[in-house]
Amino acid sequence: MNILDIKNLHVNYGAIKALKGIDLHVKDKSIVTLIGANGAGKTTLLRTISSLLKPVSGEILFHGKDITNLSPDKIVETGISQSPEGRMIFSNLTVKENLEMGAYTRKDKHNLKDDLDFVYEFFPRLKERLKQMGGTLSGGEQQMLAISRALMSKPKLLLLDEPSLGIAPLLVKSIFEQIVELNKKTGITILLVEQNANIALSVADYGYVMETGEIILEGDAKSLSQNEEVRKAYLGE
Amino acid sequence: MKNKLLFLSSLVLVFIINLFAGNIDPYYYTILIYIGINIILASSLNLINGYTGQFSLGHAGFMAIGAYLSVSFSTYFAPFFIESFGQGIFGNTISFIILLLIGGIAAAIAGIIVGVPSLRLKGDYLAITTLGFAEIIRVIIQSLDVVGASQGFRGAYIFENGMKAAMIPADMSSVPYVFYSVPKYTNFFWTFAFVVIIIFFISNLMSSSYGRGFLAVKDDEIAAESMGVNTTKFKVIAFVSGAFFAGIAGALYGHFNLYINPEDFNFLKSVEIVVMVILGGMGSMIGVIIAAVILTILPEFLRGISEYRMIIYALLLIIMMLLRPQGLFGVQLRPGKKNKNK
Repeated sequence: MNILDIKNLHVNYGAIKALKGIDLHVKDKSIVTLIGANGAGKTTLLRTISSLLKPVSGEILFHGKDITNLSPDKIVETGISQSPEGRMIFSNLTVKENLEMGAYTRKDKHNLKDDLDFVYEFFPRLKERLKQMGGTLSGGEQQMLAISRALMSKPKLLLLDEPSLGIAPLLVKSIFEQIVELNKKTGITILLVEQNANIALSVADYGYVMETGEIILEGDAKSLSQNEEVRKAYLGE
Repeated sequence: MKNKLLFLSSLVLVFIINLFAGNIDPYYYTILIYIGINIILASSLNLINGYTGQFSLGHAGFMAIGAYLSVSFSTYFAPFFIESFGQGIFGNTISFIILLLIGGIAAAIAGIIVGVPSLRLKGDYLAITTLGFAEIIRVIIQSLDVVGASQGFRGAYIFENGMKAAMIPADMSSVPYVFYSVPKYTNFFWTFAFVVIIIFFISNLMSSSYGRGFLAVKDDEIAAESMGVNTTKFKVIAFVSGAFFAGIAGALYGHFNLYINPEDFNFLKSVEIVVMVILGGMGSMIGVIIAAVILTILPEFLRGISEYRMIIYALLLIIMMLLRPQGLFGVQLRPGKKNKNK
């Protein structure tokens, strides 16, 4: 059963074709990664799923239902939530307010406290920083906050855009451990965009490789990480 | 509940002060009213520029619409108002509430018309669009004979044959008429009642979880949007409610000054309001109020050294911006880091 199906998706920035016919499928409760170099169109794809960008043609199906033309707030309501590239923390809101912003579209606000406790469990560091302004956190903490904030809308599909960007290697490892833990414990589906192909393929079930707006390769994460081409281009061998 | 009590008691306090306001020297009374009007203007612009992070430079345009519309209603339709509500204290109150709402709603509608298409623009572009809008409004008023064009507006002549005009046309000089001047409705109570209303409106809005949407839009639009905040909606709400209060301020101004001129609402007026917001600190309620008070009083204090007045005024602003760029009560933003990823 697929939670997300993308069919022949085309996205343009003016005259520039950013995505040229993407087909991508995400199985329910899995971790799927999308790897590729700078400018391949990974972030464009995530932003199109979140409806921050509008496609020229193609379809995006969520649980088999067409969501291509929904507005960003409706996308969040249907159960897709994104932790954007570069974290984009609200730097002048406190950590707690940032988390509450994540639950912005939710109608059942009375469960908020349970959900806050839930994310503190995964990222206890955040609990120590509750009253601090978002902008004063370290890069790693901001990433934890961005992921937690995305979780606050109780998504079924979590889109993570480069969670390793600009973070100390040691922290990257622990954040990815938490991502796997999250998937195992709650069954939340994760679509992970990464440049760090090594770590991404080590946690994912399935992977796609993107290059200049097209998907050039896909397969089991294991087989991809042993693929000659991938090893050469993305794993630094 | 506690908030409601505070709100009502503030209104009562304003009412009580108003009972004694008659003893205040007229010069100080005038300054006091202008302070109140400027607080309303600056606070309403703060909602747009400060809290929501959009740069509007056309607040005088909304004020002009509010002022001109409510004043022309109160003069051209003066017989209607007098007939319907009488001229007692009660009738005047009802008339004035209607007139204030006319000014506010007209400005709010203008806010929707300008805001919906132009709020998709950012930063400088929005500033230029709103500035252009305010200038268009002023130029239109300047050529509208029905509100006195560039000579300003002080009342309406209603002729016996049913004609109405702001000035006596040459061929009508023999027809009997009644002149309805702008009624002096604005007083301490009304001005500061609206000061109280806007303060409570903004502080309630901003402390609600709904209001956090405005701050999120200011902080990072893309992040806000991916959290499911409808950013356009928030920008339009801020813009339209800001315009509404500017319209009210205009209506108060018109019914106090009893004479309005298009030049009262020129570019410099817009800049003056922006300066109050920046000086007070973007997004700081108390700072903006204090700045509005200071910037209304300061030119009066400097009246003694008349020809150097504006130089000193400008110098003070420059010094202020050098020493405290974030404004009197503004929070220092983290330098440089924002918008890196755009």
